[in-house]
Amino acid sequence: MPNSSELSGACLSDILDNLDCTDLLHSLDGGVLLLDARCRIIFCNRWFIRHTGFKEAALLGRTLAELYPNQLPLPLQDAIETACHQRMGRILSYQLHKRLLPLQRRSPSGELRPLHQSILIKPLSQSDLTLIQCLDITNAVKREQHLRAGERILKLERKVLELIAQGDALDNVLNEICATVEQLIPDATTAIMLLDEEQELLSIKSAPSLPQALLDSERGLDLGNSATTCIRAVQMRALAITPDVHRDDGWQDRLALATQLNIAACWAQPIVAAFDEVVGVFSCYPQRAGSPSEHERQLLQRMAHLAAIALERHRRVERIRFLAMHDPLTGLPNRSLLNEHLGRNLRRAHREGNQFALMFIDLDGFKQINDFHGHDAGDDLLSVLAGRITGQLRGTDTCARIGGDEFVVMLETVHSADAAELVADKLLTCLSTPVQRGQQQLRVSASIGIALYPDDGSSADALLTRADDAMYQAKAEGKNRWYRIR
Amino acid sequence: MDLFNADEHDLIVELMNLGVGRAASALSQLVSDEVLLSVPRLEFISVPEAQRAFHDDLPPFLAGVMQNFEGFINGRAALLFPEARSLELVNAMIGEDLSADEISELEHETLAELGNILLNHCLATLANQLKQQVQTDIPLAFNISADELPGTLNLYQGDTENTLVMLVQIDFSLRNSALRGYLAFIIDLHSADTFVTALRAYLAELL
Repeated sequence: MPNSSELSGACLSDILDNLDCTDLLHSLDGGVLLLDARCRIIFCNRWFIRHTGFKEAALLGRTLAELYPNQLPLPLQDAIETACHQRMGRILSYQLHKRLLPLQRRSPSGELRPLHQSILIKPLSQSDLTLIQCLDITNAVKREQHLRAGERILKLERKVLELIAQGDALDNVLNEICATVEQLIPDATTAIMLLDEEQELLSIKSAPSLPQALLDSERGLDLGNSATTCIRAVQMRALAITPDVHRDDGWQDRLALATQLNIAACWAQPIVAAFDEVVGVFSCYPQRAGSPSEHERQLLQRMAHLAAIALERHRRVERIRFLAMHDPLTGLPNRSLLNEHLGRNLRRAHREGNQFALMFIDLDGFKQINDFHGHDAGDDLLSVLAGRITGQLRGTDTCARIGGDEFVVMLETVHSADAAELVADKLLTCLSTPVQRGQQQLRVSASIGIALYPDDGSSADALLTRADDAMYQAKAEGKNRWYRIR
Repeated sequence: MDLFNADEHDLIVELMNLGVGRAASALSQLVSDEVLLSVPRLEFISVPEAQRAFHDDLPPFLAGVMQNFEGFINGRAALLFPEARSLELVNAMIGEDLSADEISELEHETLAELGNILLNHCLATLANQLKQQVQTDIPLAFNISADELPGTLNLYQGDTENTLVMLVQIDFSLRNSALRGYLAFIIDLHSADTFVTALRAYLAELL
């Protein structure tokens, strides 16, 4: 007695024997052709008829070369002939043959698009027929393109991140971000715009592909005045899209510029830094009107994010640099920054033949303030006096705090000793004016030593020592005065 | 295995070089760049020897392309690569400089075509020069571990006593990419007689 598997095996072979092969080939989701030894089509399935647009009668008895005169790629024709005549099986892959048969298929939106395919050519054994199988791999191609595009973004992103990590100059990093997007969205220029501290003006920080003359003439976009795409992006804190600048009211003032630069659309992605703060906009100006695809939206988002990281890092580096160069209590430059300014001013005075003055200031009676009123009072007093000193100076002068109650003032240029002495007088007055702190009245005075370049010294050390010595002389002569050693 | 004498062996090496050279020029044309192929070594071995050679010479994971052939000789031919390098080869072929982690459907097909062109040219050259006929089936690309290779190649399918393996080293070089692969021809010895006769006829004609 046959067992069940033998039975089902027998049934299966029975079914297979009676299977209508033609019907099976017609129902396949892919093209099937049978060619005779002279490459003529003797069978084609429904898929093939559907995708070629030829009637079955028009296909039968003809070769593909006859059906597509001058359109059949040589490798395909070659492979078919080799298979039909010499019986060699072949595969023609999409990646090595981007164009095979000129077939089309309808996209989900109804448009006719090229059908990407790979073709298998199989000489059938025990006959002189050749089977051609055409596989629709359009979806696989799309997936692959998507994957490759993703990889390309990752690679460029890594490059930008490396620049950021290496501490490259901010301008380089931002230019690289713009260049990255311009590579990935062809025919589009890009710009990175930053908001000023008052959050009122949006101005271009980086735009490697825009003409420099234009960048120089742009004063920036006033947030209060216009409603351009970029400003909308800042206000909405989201991607703002102008698909066609000619139909956007915000662009009416700039249409001539848009035409000149071949700008058709504008997509603006806000750059959001830490604490959800919008610090600028990443804007993309395609040459064709339209909205960004999903993929382009993601790209803009990612690049704006990278710009945010670069800006954030730059800000922190600047902050660290500020902290390293300034006195935390008064916000005045510290000794390091003073030395930097002094060195620079020395070179300049030497070059231009200027005179400049250095003043060493030491407060009189500050220790008593600390002892009687406490360190908080002393600190408050120092802050107020620091403000008073800078109030007497020009923007180009420097006042540094170099010790507890010691300050050094550098007057960037002076015409004469008198001019420096006049400033010293003003400083003595403002420093000896009492400071009201709640109920307390705090009062100190100052002793100031003056040294003039080039008369009193020609190096930073010589000038500082001379001013220091002069300050001690002022103390010795009764304090609350200035002194210059002659 | 000394099925072939020295002259016959040399002739086979020469014909393989010719076939590989033709494949190289076909590939160069296809990728519009110079593809260099060379055959540094060719040997005929038995199935157990092949089993050992696969185990000793091949990396643990392989990418390959296999094709059946029949005619004046019958059997299966395969192109084998270290799996880790196969993608590099495909990328070099299609001129991509990106390095995906995994081989995709499309790259699988490209690899299949690469093997197809190579194996077809080798077999066709061998047959044509010897005035014989051979036909090949469509290629099949695969990724397997070296242990699975004998199974994939159906090494033990027939009578192992009557199966001969021609193992050919092949060096690829294109666009700054260079790698070594293997061609393995699993030949049914029942058909080897025709092969030997054809070789002798060819050599006799030379003299």
